[in-house]
Amino acid sequence: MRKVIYFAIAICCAATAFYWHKHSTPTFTLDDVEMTQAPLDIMAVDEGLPEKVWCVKTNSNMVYARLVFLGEGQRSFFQKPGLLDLILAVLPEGAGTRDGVELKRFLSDRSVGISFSASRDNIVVDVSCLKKHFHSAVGVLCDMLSSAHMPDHKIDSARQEMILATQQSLSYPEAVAQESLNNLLYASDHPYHQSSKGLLSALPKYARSDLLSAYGSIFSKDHLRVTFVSSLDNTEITQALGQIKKAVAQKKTLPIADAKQSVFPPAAIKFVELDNPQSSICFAFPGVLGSSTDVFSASLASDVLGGISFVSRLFFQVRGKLGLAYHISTQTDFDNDLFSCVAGIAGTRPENAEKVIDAIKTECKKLCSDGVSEEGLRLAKIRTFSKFSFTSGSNILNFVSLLRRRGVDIGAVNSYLSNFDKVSVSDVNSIVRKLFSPERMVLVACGTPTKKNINAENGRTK
Amino acid sequence: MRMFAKAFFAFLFGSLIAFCAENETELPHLNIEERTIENGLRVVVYNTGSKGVVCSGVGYFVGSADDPRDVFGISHVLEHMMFQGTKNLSGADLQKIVFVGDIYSNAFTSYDMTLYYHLSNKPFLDTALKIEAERMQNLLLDEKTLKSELEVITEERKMRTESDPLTNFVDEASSKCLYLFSSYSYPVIGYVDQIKSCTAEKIREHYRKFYRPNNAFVILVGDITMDEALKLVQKHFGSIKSGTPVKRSRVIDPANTGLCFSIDHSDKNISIRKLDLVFRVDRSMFDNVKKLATLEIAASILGDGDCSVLGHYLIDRRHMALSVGASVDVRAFDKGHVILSFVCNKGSTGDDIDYIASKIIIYPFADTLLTKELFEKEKTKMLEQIDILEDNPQSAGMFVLPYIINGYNLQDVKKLRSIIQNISLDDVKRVAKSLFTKENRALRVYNHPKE
Repeated sequence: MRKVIYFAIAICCAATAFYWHKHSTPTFTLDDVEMTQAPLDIMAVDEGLPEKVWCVKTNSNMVYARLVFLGEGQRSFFQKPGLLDLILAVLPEGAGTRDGVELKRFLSDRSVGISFSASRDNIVVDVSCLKKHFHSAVGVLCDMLSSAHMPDHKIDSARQEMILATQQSLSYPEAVAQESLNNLLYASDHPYHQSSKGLLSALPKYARSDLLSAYGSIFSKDHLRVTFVSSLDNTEITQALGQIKKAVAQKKTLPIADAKQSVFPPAAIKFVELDNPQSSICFAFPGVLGSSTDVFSASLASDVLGGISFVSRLFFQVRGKLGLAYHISTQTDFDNDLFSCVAGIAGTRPENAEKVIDAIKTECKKLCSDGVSEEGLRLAKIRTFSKFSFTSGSNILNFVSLLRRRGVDIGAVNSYLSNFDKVSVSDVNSIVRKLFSPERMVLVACGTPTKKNINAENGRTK
Repeated sequence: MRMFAKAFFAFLFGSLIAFCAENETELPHLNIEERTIENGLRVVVYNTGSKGVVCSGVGYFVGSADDPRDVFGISHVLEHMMFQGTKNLSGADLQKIVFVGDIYSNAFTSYDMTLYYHLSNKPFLDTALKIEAERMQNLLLDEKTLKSELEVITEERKMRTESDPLTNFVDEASSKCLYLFSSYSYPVIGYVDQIKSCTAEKIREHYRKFYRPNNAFVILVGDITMDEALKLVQKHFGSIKSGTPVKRSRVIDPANTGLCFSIDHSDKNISIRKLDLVFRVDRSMFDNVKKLATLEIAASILGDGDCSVLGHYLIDRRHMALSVGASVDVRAFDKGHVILSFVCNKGSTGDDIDYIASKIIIYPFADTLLTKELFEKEKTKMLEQIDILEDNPQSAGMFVLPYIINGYNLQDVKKLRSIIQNISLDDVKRVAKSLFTKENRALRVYNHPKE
């Protein structure tokens, strides 16, 4: 009997110790992470523009607005490299009744941000300000869109800045590798083709008359797409848009060149010499159009390959296990009119460049043959929801703008991310085999030549 | 009669006090609160009203300036190793949870602090703090992982320092000139041979010494209240024992050596002409929130951007510069600096800009160029910048962080809007007059193409 009691006590103690260990040792998991996105209060308003204006309502004190002039980007100025950037750079140097000093001070005193940039396809104008300064900001914006002064000496300064920045970039392996990669992706007559040499040669030749002539044909109402993220009411938005429409009403419409979707070029590996203690490796695989139904699988596939720090295949292998690079990543470049790809970049020492290239090829081959695991896909999906979370108004603006770019209907905005959740392992593996085969990769390594690099595939090319 | 006289003067005195108080403007406070829990861990909460998002961080009061002299860079190495696993969480799992579940996560080491932060959806905050509590007490170090990570850090140094023709080793040389004896003269990332000599044992020692709750703080910014924060912090950090109080011993440089260094860096891979003029700032000029804000106003009016006094003169009037900038660099244990930066336009050299800017703008700035109009506009801008920052919890968090690292009273930071509003033109003139002088210039750095 005594033995039975002792045995029972021993069992109880063991059970208590096990329970205590289990519940005092912390456990960590992603199982509780909800794949949801906060719904946006969004509506479309007809303001007499080619597309309705999308307005996202927030409670914030900040106003964010984006004006996209479709088709007016770099490719419409393909024969005149740098001209568009030069025009956009001098817009703050005086417009309407304000000279450059007055205009910049006006914006600075009110912490109003108005920025102009030219992507490959479009001109993007971003406005951000406190709500109380919005009306003033719109006034200045309209002046910049319609009556910029473009003084000669400011054109010269902006030109000088662009020349210096371009010349300086030629010392950085990353910039040189990227340009070389672009030259492989886009033939010299492709509207996306850009060259530093061409830019440096063209920039000094532009006269003020060239800028004014081009300026007269951009910011056309016929190409305008507008998105707001703010707590503005409809009257305030209508009033602002009325001013903007009036400002761009007199603009000639820039003819947008018709161009076909380009085909991904044949695989290539190229080495470019540059005297620098670091080498940069830029690479690309075929992509899919942002508007296609494959975009969900392809985006998840890119994340699995190289899109998530520490966790992605390339990062884990090249940095984590082999210690060859501080950074290696891939990202999708799907949202262009004429071309799409998955682009990657890595930095390493010249003597390790070949090892990194081999590691990239090996991981891609493994991904194509073994496929993505259920766990890998699950992580990529969770990542998609977390990276598209809304942390600020500008964040929301970027997300909504991306969806408009992809032709998503306004009614589908709040359910867009659920499309990622529906993707299966076989969907992703099918896309992986189509896109990430090492035999499709285009790669450029740029850095100081070593004996090994000289013997790299396809030889040494300057 | 005597009593009546006393009462009368008391009344006069009281009225004078009330009058002065009435003329001090009171603006809305920043929603910042601070508590300390039993084990010494500080909890700072900044409720910005951002819906559903919290930026959280655990900061340790240890940075590269605390590194032992034979292992500069060890604090940064430790930061890297904090992502490689703990007793209860493998490196792979830790990386998975943090880099997949968080909106954004990262860490950095500076001279005086190491911070691990997460930008998360609110439901993920519990996991984020749980991970930080685990990392605070249970770090696991193995030689194999360390060896690989030391290679990665060597790559990082090559990328950040050695491969950039513009900064190259110039930044390290600048630190050597500005801080002669202090640990601030050494780079945060350390040197390659010392990085490679880091052993697991040395790192463990460094970790045990500095990674304690009584040498750390938790900062939470966004959609969070103090009650919520305390509940979570107590849950995850409450049982961690405080360690031996940390004594941070630093060699402090002499207040003003009177030396002014000049670095001339030319390289065939440099295309631009860039000039930096650095002025030393004594600790007494930024030892409270009001003084720091005054200093920032002075530097910004003088040199921050096209609309500054230097920008207007050198860019718009004389076409000598393409851009100008000003920044204030303060340290927790030593003097700070104000850096004025210039990119030269075609036809101008660093000497040209140095001569004109110093003689016509910088030295006479306080007496003749600092106007009431410029001052009032700058104050308004600074106040509005706070409103703008609060729209993004990460930006708001990074804004508050320097005040914590440099030991400012957070009760004053709370009243920052009122403090800024009550800064007078005379305050700024006084600071500018003592700061922007020939004798106070500490360093000139000129990067230019090799002719």
